[in-house]
Amino acid sequence: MEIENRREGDVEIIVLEGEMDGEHAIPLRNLVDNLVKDGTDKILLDCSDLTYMNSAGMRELIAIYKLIIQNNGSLKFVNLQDDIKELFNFTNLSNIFSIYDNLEQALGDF
Amino acid sequence: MSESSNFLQSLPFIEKNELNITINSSYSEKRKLLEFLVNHFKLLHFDDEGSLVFNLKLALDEAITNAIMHGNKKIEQKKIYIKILLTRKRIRCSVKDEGEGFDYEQVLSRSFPDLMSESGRGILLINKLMDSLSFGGRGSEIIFEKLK
Repeated sequence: MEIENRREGDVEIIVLEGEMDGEHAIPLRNLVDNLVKDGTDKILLDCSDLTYMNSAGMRELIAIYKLIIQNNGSLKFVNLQDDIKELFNFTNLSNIFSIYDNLEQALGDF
Repeated sequence: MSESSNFLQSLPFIEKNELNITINSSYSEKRKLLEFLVNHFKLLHFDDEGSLVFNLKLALDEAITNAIMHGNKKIEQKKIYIKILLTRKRIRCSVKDEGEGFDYEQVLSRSFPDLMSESGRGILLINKLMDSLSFGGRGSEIIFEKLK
């Protein structure tokens, strides 16, 4: 999985590309950990090019979500591909994750 | 030659509609196998059928991960035997490890774990994604089917 991040206002946008399993998610967890330590409290995961995720990837996302929430921050997801959106739906993760269909909408809702 | 090419050359038989593959209990071998199988499924135009390739890959991924972690206890030398039967109407997969099995009835009796739980989704994902699920060897073999 490729990870790129950029700042837009006070929101850190992390762009994910490729496949997320437990191992590939470690750099993402490290990045979020550093961002949170540096005081970033608004994080947006852009999943436009995230093509696959297994349960280990989901486990990492939940860990990241907990880390951000425990530090009084906010995590949002944008542009999930249909297969992953379906996965979040039937595992009920869509009930805890804030998911948006476009970037502007997500940014405007922080 | 790349590591991946070597791995593919080592893959055993693909006879007509049946794939019989044995791998070590290794995440890198799992990843290479899944890549190979996805390409194989695409050659068969399974990707014309909505989420079929994604769902098959995920079910196999979860079954092999369980075999590595829980069945073979991450002992790399222990083998995982994967059998995939492709017919016109269905895809039947079997993943067998060298472990002692597990109480699958107890696992299947659960619903998806607590929303915030970081684990416990693998077998339930397979059950949800596939059209049938059964076990052999007291749980050391998982068998699942997807109708086309």
